[in-house]
Amino acid sequence: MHKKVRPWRMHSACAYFFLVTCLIPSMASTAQTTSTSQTISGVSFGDQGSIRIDLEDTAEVENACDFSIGQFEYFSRLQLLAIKTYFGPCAVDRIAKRKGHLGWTLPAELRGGGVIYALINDKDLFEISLKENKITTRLVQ
Amino acid sequence: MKMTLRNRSWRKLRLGAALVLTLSINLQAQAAVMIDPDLVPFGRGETDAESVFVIAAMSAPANEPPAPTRYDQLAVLAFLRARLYESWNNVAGHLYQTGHLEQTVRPVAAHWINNTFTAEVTPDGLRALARTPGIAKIYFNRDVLEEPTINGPNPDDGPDPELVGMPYDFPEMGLDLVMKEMPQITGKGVVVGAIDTGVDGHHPALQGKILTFFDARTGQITEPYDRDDHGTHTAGTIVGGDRSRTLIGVAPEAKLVASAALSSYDHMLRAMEFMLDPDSDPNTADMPRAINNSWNCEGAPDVELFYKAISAWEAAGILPVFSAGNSGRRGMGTITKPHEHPFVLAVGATGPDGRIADFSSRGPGRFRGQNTQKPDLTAPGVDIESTMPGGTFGKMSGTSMAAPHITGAAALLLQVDPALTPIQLKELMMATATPMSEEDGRDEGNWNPHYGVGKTNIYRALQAAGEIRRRRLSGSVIDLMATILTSPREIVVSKFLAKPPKLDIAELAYSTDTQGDGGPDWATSADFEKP
Repeated sequence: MHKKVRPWRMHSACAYFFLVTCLIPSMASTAQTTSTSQTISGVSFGDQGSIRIDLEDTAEVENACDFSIGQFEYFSRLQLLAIKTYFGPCAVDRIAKRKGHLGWTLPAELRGGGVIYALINDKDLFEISLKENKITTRLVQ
Repeated sequence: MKMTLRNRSWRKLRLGAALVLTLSINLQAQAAVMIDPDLVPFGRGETDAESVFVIAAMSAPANEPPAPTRYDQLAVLAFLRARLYESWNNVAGHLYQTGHLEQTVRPVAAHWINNTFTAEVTPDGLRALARTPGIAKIYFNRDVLEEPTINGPNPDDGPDPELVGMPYDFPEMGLDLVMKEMPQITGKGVVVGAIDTGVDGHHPALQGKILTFFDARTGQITEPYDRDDHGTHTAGTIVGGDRSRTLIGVAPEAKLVASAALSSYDHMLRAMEFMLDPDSDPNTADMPRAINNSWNCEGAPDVELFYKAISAWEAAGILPVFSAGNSGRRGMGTITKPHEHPFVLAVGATGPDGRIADFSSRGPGRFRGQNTQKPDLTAPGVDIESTMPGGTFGKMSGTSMAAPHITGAAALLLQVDPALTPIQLKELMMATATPMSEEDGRDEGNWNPHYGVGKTNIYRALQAAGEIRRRRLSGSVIDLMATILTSPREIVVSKFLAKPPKLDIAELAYSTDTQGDGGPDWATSADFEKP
């Protein structure tokens, strides 16, 4: 399943405020924080100028359900894609590295190739090089 | 003035109400309603939410029905339903009189399995509920699993080529010997259950094996589906495949009553209740005899909601099989809730090397302030190959994967001897387990906090069950199980022949002194007052 998510370009501060103040920490808040960080486990070209970025935990967790993309935003001047992952409650006794993915339609300036930086959860920065048929990824920091 | 029948009845009712009110005031004086601390900000009006869902636990009614006999399913169900009726009448009457029923307190579902009801309440409603006689505790209805947005197998995966051949978990549990020497023992004619994320009933290795599927979120019997892949995997280990080519299920000819229920506390309780009487006709024998539970319910101040449901299962004749938890890397005493309950068969996980998995939760468990010897035993739970949604297969690890081996084993034992009770099933498997010891010398008799009593051996358990059945039918006296076991462990067979013990009604009633098990402290209605 390839799920495309529209990045927030306009009013991102308002949207972020809404997410943080209204959705996430509501009375029935179920968002989980974790010390486990995520890495980019793969990037591949999709249809019609899209790419799929696969994310994975760097370590196993005790109650593993897959995570979703809570938020992402592309800053074109910085070529920076900021991704935040979201973890709901998970009561199953499965031990595993959690996974998730992001489908993103590339902006026109990147369709011929280029470099973008992916910042995951304000913590880990990855460089993603896009060439015609080849994608390489490396951890920058 | 002549008193009419109508007047007399009304007067009696008013007198009765006054008496109930007096009793209630006395009860209130003895024990304040315990309130989930997560509800306090809402009750104080400090959140923007207009309403929340709560689960209210009701205390035993004054005129509680007599305790039923353990393992008499009909009597246990009648008792539970009658108790709910009495308790709810008292509570609903008070809420109606005070103008809160259907106004600020909107009941959504009543759960006779544990004498609770789910309700949507406003802040006023929550405060009113906390003053209502007959309410013992109010829990926040916690979510336990969200809608997955991405999960699911890669459709390109296809059948795993490693599926061909004998997986390690079969010989590890003695299942290879069962297949060779007892090929007719496949779980045929036995119904077991599974409460999980659901199940893909169209998977070729599961087709025709799902007897009933209950969607706890809607409260309806539906076509089977899986919200995740976890439930399809655990179901495959219980009943999946066959004994010739697709070797994944321990009891491939048993039938499964499955439920998609891992979404919130009240859905889980709905599913647990459903299992007691799937077709709502207690006269039909459709109740699963053992139920797999590869989940936990951490987070609440206590888990008495689930303890009561587990006690009800056991009383009706169901063996509650639970995963022990995956917190072993954090050390000893890491059994997760509610797996520490004495009636639970808590299963730890071993790996392909036959040793305990590092993640498998270590004992002891902590139950109402007391230590319990958990885990009870172990089964394979690392890299277990089983069914995945979409007709594929895949490997998963966790005590989630160990528990379904034991649920399948229970189905095999019940095929050999349908008269086995939950406690007998548990004792049979524990008595015939292969003892395992750890070098750190923590063994307490036959039990240690890593393996419990050891690794499950289905072959030996079936041998013992066959012998018990044979001797019971022939009327011969059996002195010790040890005479028929290769294990030196002794079980007095009189346990197997004795009448079931009388049900202690306290097991099904809410106690208010359950602090000390590691959860957050309870609040009271006084906490609704802002400082």
